[in-house]
Formats: sequence, structure tokens, C-alpha cells
Amino acid sequence: MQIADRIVLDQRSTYILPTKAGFLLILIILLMMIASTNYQNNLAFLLTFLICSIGIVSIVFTFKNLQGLAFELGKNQSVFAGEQLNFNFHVSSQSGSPHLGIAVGFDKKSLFYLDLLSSEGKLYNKKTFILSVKVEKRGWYSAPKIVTTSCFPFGLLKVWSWFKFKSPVLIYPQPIEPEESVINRIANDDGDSNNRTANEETEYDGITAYKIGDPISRVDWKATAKEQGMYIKSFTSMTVNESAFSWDDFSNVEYELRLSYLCYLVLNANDQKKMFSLSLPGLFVSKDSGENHLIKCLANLALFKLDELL
Amino acid sequence: MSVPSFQALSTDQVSIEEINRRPIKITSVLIAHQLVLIPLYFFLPFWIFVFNSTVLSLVYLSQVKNKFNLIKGLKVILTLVAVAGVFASFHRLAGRDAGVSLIAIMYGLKIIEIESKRDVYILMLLGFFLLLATFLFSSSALIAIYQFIPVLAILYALQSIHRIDDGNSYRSTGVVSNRITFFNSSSRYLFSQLVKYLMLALPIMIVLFLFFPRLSGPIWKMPGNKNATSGISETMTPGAISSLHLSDEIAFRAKFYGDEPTGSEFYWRTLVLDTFDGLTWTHVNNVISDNWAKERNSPFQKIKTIEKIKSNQSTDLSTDTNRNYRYEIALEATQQNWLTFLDKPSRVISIAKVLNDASVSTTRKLFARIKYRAESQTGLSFNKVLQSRSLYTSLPKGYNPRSMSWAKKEREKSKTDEQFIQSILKKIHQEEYFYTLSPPVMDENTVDSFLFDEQKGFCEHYAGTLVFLARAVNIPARVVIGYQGAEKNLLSDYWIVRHSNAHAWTEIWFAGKGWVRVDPTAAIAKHRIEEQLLTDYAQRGNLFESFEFDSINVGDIPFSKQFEFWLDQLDSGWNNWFLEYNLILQKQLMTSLGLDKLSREQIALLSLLAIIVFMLFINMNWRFKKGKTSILFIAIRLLNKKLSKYNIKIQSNHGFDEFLSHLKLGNTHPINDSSQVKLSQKSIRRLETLLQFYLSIRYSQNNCSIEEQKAFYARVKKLKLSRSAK
Repeated sequence: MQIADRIVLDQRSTYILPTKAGFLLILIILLMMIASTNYQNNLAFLLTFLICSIGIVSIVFTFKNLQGLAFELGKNQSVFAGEQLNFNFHVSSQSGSPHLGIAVGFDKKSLFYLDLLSSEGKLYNKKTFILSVKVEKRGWYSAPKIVTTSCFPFGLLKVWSWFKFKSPVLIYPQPIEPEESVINRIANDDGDSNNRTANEETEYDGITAYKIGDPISRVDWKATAKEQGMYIKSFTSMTVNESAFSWDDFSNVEYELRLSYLCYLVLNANDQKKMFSLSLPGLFVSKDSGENHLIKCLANLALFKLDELL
Repeated sequence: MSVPSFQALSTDQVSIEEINRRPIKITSVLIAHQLVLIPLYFFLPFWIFVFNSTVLSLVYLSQVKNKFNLIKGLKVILTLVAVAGVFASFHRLAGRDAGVSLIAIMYGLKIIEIESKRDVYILMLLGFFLLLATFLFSSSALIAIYQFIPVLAILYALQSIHRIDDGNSYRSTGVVSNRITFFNSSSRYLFSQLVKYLMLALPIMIVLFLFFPRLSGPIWKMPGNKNATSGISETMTPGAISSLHLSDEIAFRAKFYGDEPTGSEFYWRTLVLDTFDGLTWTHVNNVISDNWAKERNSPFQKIKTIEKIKSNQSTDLSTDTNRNYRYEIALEATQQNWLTFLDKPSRVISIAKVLNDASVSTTRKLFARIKYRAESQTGLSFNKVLQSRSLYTSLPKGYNPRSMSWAKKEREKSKTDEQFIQSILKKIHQEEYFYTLSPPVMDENTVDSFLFDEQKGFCEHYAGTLVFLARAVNIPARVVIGYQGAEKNLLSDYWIVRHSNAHAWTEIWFAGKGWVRVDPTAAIAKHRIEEQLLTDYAQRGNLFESFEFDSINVGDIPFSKQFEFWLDQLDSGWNNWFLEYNLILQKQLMTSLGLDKLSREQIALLSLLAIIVFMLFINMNWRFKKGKTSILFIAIRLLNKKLSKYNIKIQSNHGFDEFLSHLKLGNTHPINDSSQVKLSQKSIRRLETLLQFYLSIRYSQNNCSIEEQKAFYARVKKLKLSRSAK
């Protein structure tokens, strides 16, 4: 099994076996052979051998339909734990010849198919497969091994190969809205104001373009359907403040849940275009705003003490 | 600094559930299905064609055009109708014709229930077997060539059900747009691939055909099919036939080595009818020839001499020449046991059994064409000592009293047996005896009513009557069935004998001479032969005395006839070179290749090995072709070498476009910590344009031609990189 971010299929890890239809053909060839022998008919023999040869040649061509395919890991956006990850990767033809009826899947039962040749005869450079998978845990997510299979051209044989993408996808903690009771009332204005704003943000303020980190639950699907791109319902809060989020804000809370709370707060603050800082044990992200700052915070939350906590 | 923003991913992928939900594209399947059946229709009753076409139009209208839905029980009803129809046509369900008819109808009905891919597989793969069934009826080269079309159509249908992007939209659940995707360019591509597969399959097929070990003989015996072939039959009932159809089908071809017979020598003997029950003449005698029985024990002699050739012994009635002919006959399948020879054979092949009436039979019925060599001496007298005289003089009691008494009276008038026979021939010649293919049906005393009342008939009537009259006066006589005449293929050196040449004559035994051929039909006066028959019988040479067989130049024969000869020559060549290939020839080929020492298993293994080598070759060939991109790889290696000075590597697990974007971004992805780029902005721009050029040729229309690769290589070579100033 090949493990890399760009995989070119070759003979080594590719397997082939007849399908049910293939076995049916073998049976029919046997019948034809018996009939030809019985009548000692040379044309019948010739036809039998022709069908036999086509079967043999189709071994090569079924094989070749997978050989020379290149799978390349796509740009997988980080998602929050508990959400669906649309794990995507691209397929292209390294051999330069069209490949048809290619299927991929995490197992042999739930497969997705596509052709690298359009019905108009255009050879596609590249096509994208998306395998949806629900991710449960924050941290690095490695997609399970992927099977690619095909029985093109005649469906008499099935060829398959397993591979695995090397680079993992970063999964952020699941954002959970902290309850009032769990928050340590430390003399911290920022903390207070943060909590306040969290409760205040009820005023619907139209839609804005989706940005990384926006909770999926807030996506305005109606608007998304109407226009190109994704939009979320945005809520403005009355107060614009600075916030400082800290690991110690939730001292009585279990560690994973703390990360989820912090994740929620960070996202919330970013929605309100506030400046915020994040402090975790042994790590401090200084006050800033903007998407890069957000991603930095989220990445730190995702990777925080990964080995110890999970 | 920028962060990749969320983009809605687009994909053309289709889930397996959705594929299974899709309606089966039935059009290409239906076309393949019909192409399979077409050649069979030539050999099966016409109603089967009508029946299958009706089923096809019902299925087409309901499945493709969605005009209506077929009722559920329809298939059962149609099946019962079909089985009843086959039984009505053949009065049985077994046997070749009935069996294949049944299969053809069942196959025709199968399209009613195409619901899943599984049904398509069964339908299409069974099609291969149906194609084979056609060869049970005909070995024509034209049909053999035609069969490639349904094979391609089946493969195309199988291929098309595996296509995902077939140009049809399935999004709306209700309406299925069944746009036929034939011969748009992707279909053309797929079709060209099929032709390629076929071309690659052909060499393997030839190897298998030549070397695959074969079993001999039929595995099970098929019931003979008497009504299938026209031509000669093993019995003769002259009174019962009211109309005889001349079939132009070829009975056999003969090629002479050395001398060729002329005119009246073209009597091809097949079998002897020795017993008459008052209505029908049948073959009873099965005594094996003494000479043949003696010689069959000598293991080394493959050709048996059945009658020692003695010169100048014959004073025959019909001919005075006594020439020896060596020839080869290619006999079409007769479904009978009899082999045909020119007159009486003096040498025959070893597999045959020679009876003492000089007819030759085989142990198995001839279901396939057979080719054999023989020698004949025409006019050779035979069986000087008569065996089983009573068999050849017996007549059923009480039949044809008028003929009996007439014969006895006539014999008293004649001095010898020969004179008696001559007087009968004279009677036929001088009195009002007519030759016709539509004689009146005659009742119980067929000889009486033919001889005295009707005086009209064909060869069987004349032969039967002569033998009856001879036996009536105790002269041993028998009816001989065979062929008379031959047509030379003027473009080649062989003779064609058709079923319309089938003939019946007699052999009379004279003391001191043995069996002598007498053909009473030849005694009929020319002006009493139906006008049209003369033209039909042109190839019979001088059967009717005054009708001369002219030798014609090739230039004189009409074009249509020339074409016919040419076609037959093609067919004969096809037969000689291809259809004759059998176990013996396979063995000969092995011997000539020095493979005869090997066992069957070893040969099978060797064939397999050859095929594997061939397949590897195909694969290699493909890899070699892939090698056309190798300039590209050399160029990339060179590029990497240049980049290595700056700690940059175009990693094989990164696409170039991705590399490009990294380059542009200066590696700012938060979780990516790959090497720093120390290239100057100018160099980055150069690299960028270079890589863009690479991408443009990699996915270009020309599919990365050699020229484009060379251009890329040249650019890589020219590329100059420099360190950034910082």
C-alpha cells in the first residue's frame, strides 16, 4: 500500500480478480468449447478462441485502467470536531490516456465513481473526489486508507488498489457555548465583557461572506443556495471590546470541554471583529484580530497537549 | 499574507447507490442483441423473425420511448406461445433446428426483463453462444466475417454500461432523457479502443486455434436431422413425389490429379438401394468387401486397395475407356454415413468401411464437411462372382403384375440378358416417355402405372422401373444413388457438384462382366425432356445423348457466372485453408514445428506462456509509449538539480500547481514548515512562468507532444536562478 500525498498507481499494489460476470463468461466459453468440439466446427472453435482472447486481453486493459492514475491530496479545510469533513483529493491521468469508471471509497461497499473522459470526448486534467467523513476528535486527522477500483471496460474483471494519504487534516475543537455558571468570575473586565457580548449577540444583521472558523450552524443556507459562495447570518453586538481568553477561565471544567468553550469564545470574538488574546498553559497568543490570528488560535487549541489529553 | 478562504468543492463523482438507481441504457444493448440474432434468421423459420421483431418493438416502445408499460405476465405468455410455435414447426423440441429455434426465441424474449446490470451481462454474454449457433448452420466466410460486428456490438454495450459520464442527465427523477450517445467523440474513442482490443485479441486467438489441444469426435451424438439438408436421401419412393426441387447448394467439390474424366464418366456413386418393398427402395446389404476386410489388418497401409486393378478386362455397356483417376473430394456435411466417389473406387481412405456393393460408409454421420482422396477406374467391372444373388433378384409378391408379365414376355424375345436390357432402353427412347420434375402421384402399383399409364417421371422412376423389370426375369439388378455431371470452375481447377446433380441409375449384373452401369434416364429422347430442365441440367454434360457439353473459354462466360465461379473459388479456398484444419493437421503442424514430442499438457502450458509473453508485450508497449513523456522527466530532474542549490525540491508528492502556490505565498501556511525560499523575486517569477508553461503543456490538447516537451526542456536549461538579496 502506498502512503504519500501524491500517489501514482502501478502494478505492484494492484490486484485483479474476475467478477461474477467474468465467471459467467468462463462458463459460457466452456459451453462454447464443448459445442465446438461436439460439432468439430472450426468456425465455432475460432469464435470460442476469439471470445477467450478478448477475455485475456481485457485483463491487461482492466489493469491499465487503474495503472497510471495519479491521486493527489486536495486542500482540505480544517473543520470542527463533530462536523462532516469533506475529505477531497484529485485524480488525474498520469499516463495521458482516459480512464473511465474509476471508483474510490473508504471501503468497497460505499463507492463513488467518475470518468476522466467527458461524454463529449474531452479528457479532463483533473477531477475531484469528495469522501465525507464525520470527525469526532480535535487534532490531526488522518483519513483512513482508500480503495480505488474499476471494472471498466467490460465488467468481467475487477481491479483494485489501496492507498493512504500521508498528510493529516487539522481538526479544531468542537465549539461549545459556555454556560454562565461555569465561568470563573475573575476580576477581568475583558472576561466579563466577553460573557456579556456572548449573551447580547441576538440582533440579526443580515448576511456576510463565510470565513474560515464560522460555525456551520450559522450558515445561511437559503442565501448560499441563491448566490455563489457561502454566507452566514451575522449578528452584531452592541459593545465592541477587547477580550482575553484564558485556560484558567474555566477551572472547574474538564480539559476537553475547556478547549471547546475557548474555541467558541474565540470564534465569537472574531465574529464581532474584536481584538482578543488567548492564553493556554505554556502558550500565549497576544492580542490581535483577523483571520490569521483566528487560525493561529484555533490551531493552538486543536493541538494543545494532544498527546496528554486525548 | 492571506488565508485560503472556503470554496465550495465541485465534484462529478456519482455514488454507487445513484448508479444502481439509474435506468439501464438499453439502446446499445438492444442493437447488439439484434445483431446477434440476424444471421440466425436465415436458417430458422420466418415466424421466429416476426416474433422476435414484435418483442423488440414492444420493448423499444415501452422501455426506451416510455409509451406504455409491459404487463407482468407477458413474458410467461410469450414463452408458452413460442414453445408451442417451435413444437408446431418441428414436431419436437430437441435436435439442431428445433433446439436453436427455441434458444433464439428465448434469447429474443430475454430483453423483456432488463432491469439491472446483471440482466445486461447475461443477455450480452449469452449472445456469444448464440453467435456460435449460427455456425452450426453455415460455415460461409461471409457469415464468419459478419460475426465480428455483433462481437463488437456486445463489447460496446458492455463498455457503455460502465461509463459514468454518459451525457445523460439523471437529476430529475421522473424523466429519463435517453439521448443516444452513439458516435459523439467519446463514443468514437471507446469504439476505437474496442477495435484495438479486438486487434490484440486476434493473435492470441490464432495461437489458441492452432495449438490448443483438441478433443476428437462428438462428445454426444446429435439426433440426425433429415429434413435439414436437401440432396440425396437414403431411400427412394418414386411414386410418392409429385414435385422435386432442384437445390443449387453445393454437394461436394472434386479436384483431379492428372487426367480428368469427360462427359459420361461423371457418375458419382454414393449408395446402393437393393431392397424393394413394393413402394420404397431401401439399402439393406451391409456386407463388408472381402478385399477391404483382408487389408484393414495391415497396420502400415493407410490406403486400402479394394479391387485389384487389372487392365483391359472390361467390355462395358456404357463406356469402353478404362482410365484411372486420382482425385480429392471435399464433401459437404450430409448428416449421413455415405461417402461419394467417382464411379466405383479402387482406393479409399482408411477411416471408411467399404461394402461389397462398392459403396463406402463411415462409422460416424457426417455432421461436418470431410475431405478425402481416392482413386477410381471408370468402367471397371466389379464383382465378377456374384455374392448374395437372391438379394438382388428378390421382389415383393403381388405388386405390378402387368410389368411382371411384360418383362417375362420381352425376355423370351431376347437372346441374352444384355439384349433384354437394351430392348427396355429402346422402349424408353422410342415410346412416349417424358422426363419431368413434377410427375403425377402414382398409387400402389407404381411401376405399372409409370410404365404403361403415365409414362412421365424423373430418374428415380426410370431407375426403379428398370431394376424391377430386370429382377422380374431374375437378372440381378440394383438402384444406385449418387450424382451425375459436374461443373468445372473455369477460374480454377476443381469441379463443383450440386445437390441438383443428384441422380439415380441402375447397375445390372451380367455373367462374365459383373456389375454394369445402365442409366435408363439417359435413354429418354431429347425432345421429350422439359425445355427448362435442359438449361438447368446443362452441367450434366451428355446425360441426354444429343446434348453436348461444350467447352467454353473463360472469356465467353457471362460476368455473373464468372463472379459466381470467383465466389465459389473463394469459398473453396476458405474451406481448404481454414475449415479443414483438424486434429490431424494440428498434429502435422506440431511435427513440422518440432513440437510433436510434447504432451498435450506441455503444449497447453506453452500456449499459455506465449500468451503471457504477448500480454507483457502489450503492457510494455504501453509503457514504452508512456516513455514519450520521458523528456519531461529528464527536464524535471534537471530543474530539481538547479533548485537543489537553494534547498528547494519539487516534491513528487506535490502537484506543480500546489508548489507554485507555495512559492508565491512564500510558505505561509500556518502548519506547513517546509524549507524557506531564498530565491530572488526575479527568480521566483522566472520559475513561476516556467512551471505555468509546464502545466499548460502537461494538460494541453496535444497531450504533451514531443515538441512541447523539448521546448520545456530548453526552457529549463536556460533557466537562471539567483539568491535573494536579503
